[in-house]
Amino acid sequence: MDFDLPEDVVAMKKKAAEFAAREFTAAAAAEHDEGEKYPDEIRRKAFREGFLDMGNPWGMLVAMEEFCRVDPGLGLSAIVPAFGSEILMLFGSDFQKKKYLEPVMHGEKMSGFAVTDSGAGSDVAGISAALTRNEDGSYLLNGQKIFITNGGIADHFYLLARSSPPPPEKRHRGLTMVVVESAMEGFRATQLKGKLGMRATNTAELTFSNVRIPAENVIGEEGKAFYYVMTFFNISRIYVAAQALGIAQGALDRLTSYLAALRASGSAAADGEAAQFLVAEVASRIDAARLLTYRAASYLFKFTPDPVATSMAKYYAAETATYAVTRILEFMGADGVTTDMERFYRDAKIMEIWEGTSEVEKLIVARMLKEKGEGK
Amino acid sequence: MRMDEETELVLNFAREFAEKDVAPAAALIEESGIPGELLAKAAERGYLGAVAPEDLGGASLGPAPYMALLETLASSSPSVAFYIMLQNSLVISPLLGFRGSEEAEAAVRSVADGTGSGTLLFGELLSNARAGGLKLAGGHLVGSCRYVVHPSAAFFISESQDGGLLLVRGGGSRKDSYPRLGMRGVGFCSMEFETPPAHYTRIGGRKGGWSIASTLNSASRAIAATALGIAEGALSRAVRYAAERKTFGSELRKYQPVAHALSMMQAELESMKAYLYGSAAGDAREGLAAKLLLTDAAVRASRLSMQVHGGNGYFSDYGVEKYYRDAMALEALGGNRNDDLKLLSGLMLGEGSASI
Repeated sequence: MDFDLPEDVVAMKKKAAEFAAREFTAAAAAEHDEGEKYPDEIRRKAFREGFLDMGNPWGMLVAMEEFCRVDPGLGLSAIVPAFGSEILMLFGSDFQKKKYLEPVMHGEKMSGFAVTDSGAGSDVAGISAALTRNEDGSYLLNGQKIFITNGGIADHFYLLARSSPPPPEKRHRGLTMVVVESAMEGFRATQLKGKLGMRATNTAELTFSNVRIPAENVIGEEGKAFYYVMTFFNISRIYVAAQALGIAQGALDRLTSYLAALRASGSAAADGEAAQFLVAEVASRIDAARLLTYRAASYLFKFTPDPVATSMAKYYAAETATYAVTRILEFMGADGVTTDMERFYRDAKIMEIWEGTSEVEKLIVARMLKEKGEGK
Repeated sequence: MRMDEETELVLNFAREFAEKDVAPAAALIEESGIPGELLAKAAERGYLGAVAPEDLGGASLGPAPYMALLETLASSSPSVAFYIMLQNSLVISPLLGFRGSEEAEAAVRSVADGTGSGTLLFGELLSNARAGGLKLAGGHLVGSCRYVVHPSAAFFISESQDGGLLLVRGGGSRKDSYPRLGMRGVGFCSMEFETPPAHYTRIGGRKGGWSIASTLNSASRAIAATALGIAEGALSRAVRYAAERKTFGSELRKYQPVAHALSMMQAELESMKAYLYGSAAGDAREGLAAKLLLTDAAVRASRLSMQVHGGNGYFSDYGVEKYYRDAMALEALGGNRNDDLKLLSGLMLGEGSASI
């Protein structure tokens, strides 16, 4: 056991912190938040500096953390253009990797991951988007998807739909994943505005009306995609935990600077034990969340993911983010809501919701521990 | 909870106003402020002068009906409730301490009939690092004020060093605007004042007794009632959603963690509500405690409501995320929490408590 990050990861962390400090200016963060505008220029710069490197997962993880520490909306936007790519890396055909994955890895195209629909949410198997097979082997896609990150800007999506009615009590069967291009006929994306936070990221509702999907766009095997999605979540949840860690750490950074300024102004509030305990309680939880996250990441990056460790990390880190921003903002009061801490407060809440709500993460932990206990 | 007849009457009218007039304007209020038309209707109903006596054009509501009004409006639009609380508890109430002063009475009348609104310059009290404030220099009133709510008011209230009330009717200019977490229906910025003697009036003074801090403390119950309304608005939406929304084949309310959290929150709010109304004419300690308890409960209830709504709640069209923003904004604008906790500790445990 070694609690120190390897040198190359430390270097990446430093590089990411410097990039974020330089590019995520207060003005840029406020502008993209207010206008609900995706920062395409920042995405390009982040790509040029090598932050989107699937071959260096530890580097991407610490970059995510450092980016969100400075600004969660811009931070996620800078690293999210390849969202969903692991699906093709793990289950895609050579044709799909060449046609869809490569241009994303070269920074020329963007991808998205489309699972959630308005009726289902965390209940992945409850989706209604449907694939019906044509005589020539291709499929027709109909239905809709909601809350899709990169929905209005991605070139293609890895999309989950129902391809056959499930057998009784086996709702997770009969689900298929396909690549759908935004340029395909019958595809429509509508940006969803009015988000509480993470407003620099692009979120859209997608609708499909008889979109023709060629047979070669089916990812892996027909009917087996529930497993692919769960595999993907075991990866993406670790990156969400890193976002949450970044948000919590960013809030603590702001508290520390605030206390220093208070002290300089001679305010008694700065050194009271209430302030000291606040620092200690938030810092302890952040460290606990970081240890959980790095442990889950170390299993995953050795190709032996542990879903219990992953769900624990995601649930605990997300809760730590909202805990940190709420407690700190309560302490700072008007001095806090008039600074970018208010944006951290708005940005943090989604951590407990997307990529599996905290409730779903807890169910995964409990069910898998039960299975382990019963020796299954 | 059973209310007296007068409170029930106010409640019914306030509910009707909230449903017919406030709710349809909810999105507009968040985007561009409370429409003038809505404020005119509020004035007609006597809400802008709720605590003013009838001879000054007010509705002369007692503490319980006034709290019921704020609670009801806050559950629909926290911004509207906050604005009405501002006009009554932070503007009219201190002016009523100077009855007999023509200027003070004229100001109360103008607020009550909606022809002129006011605001209290209490922003400095909210900060952990006091800095600005207005000072008299060569007869001019000069200085900067942070955290000014409703800066478009027709007049501003500040305090003179000898315990008098300063009614300021000009010489103020807006400086920095702030990011808007919540209470977006009410303006919020910092201001710079350079007011010549002709544009301000000193009322009272040289005997002490009045201060911005004492006014803010007396507003504790009104702020608590506003927080209660926010918590109830957020919670009732979550309860409704949990009964309708199905996931994994069942309504959300069937799941233990959801049901336990919602019902415990409801029990908490009901007990706090009984405490708040039960102490309507009570001492400062109970008012302060109610404010601290309920502003905190509003933050937690709105977070719970967000979680129950899942992804849907994250978007403004579900009308839930505003409670999450407004609850925290109310906590920040309703007083300095660190000072209030110290004050409460002093009242409960004796002087010198909570000083280390």
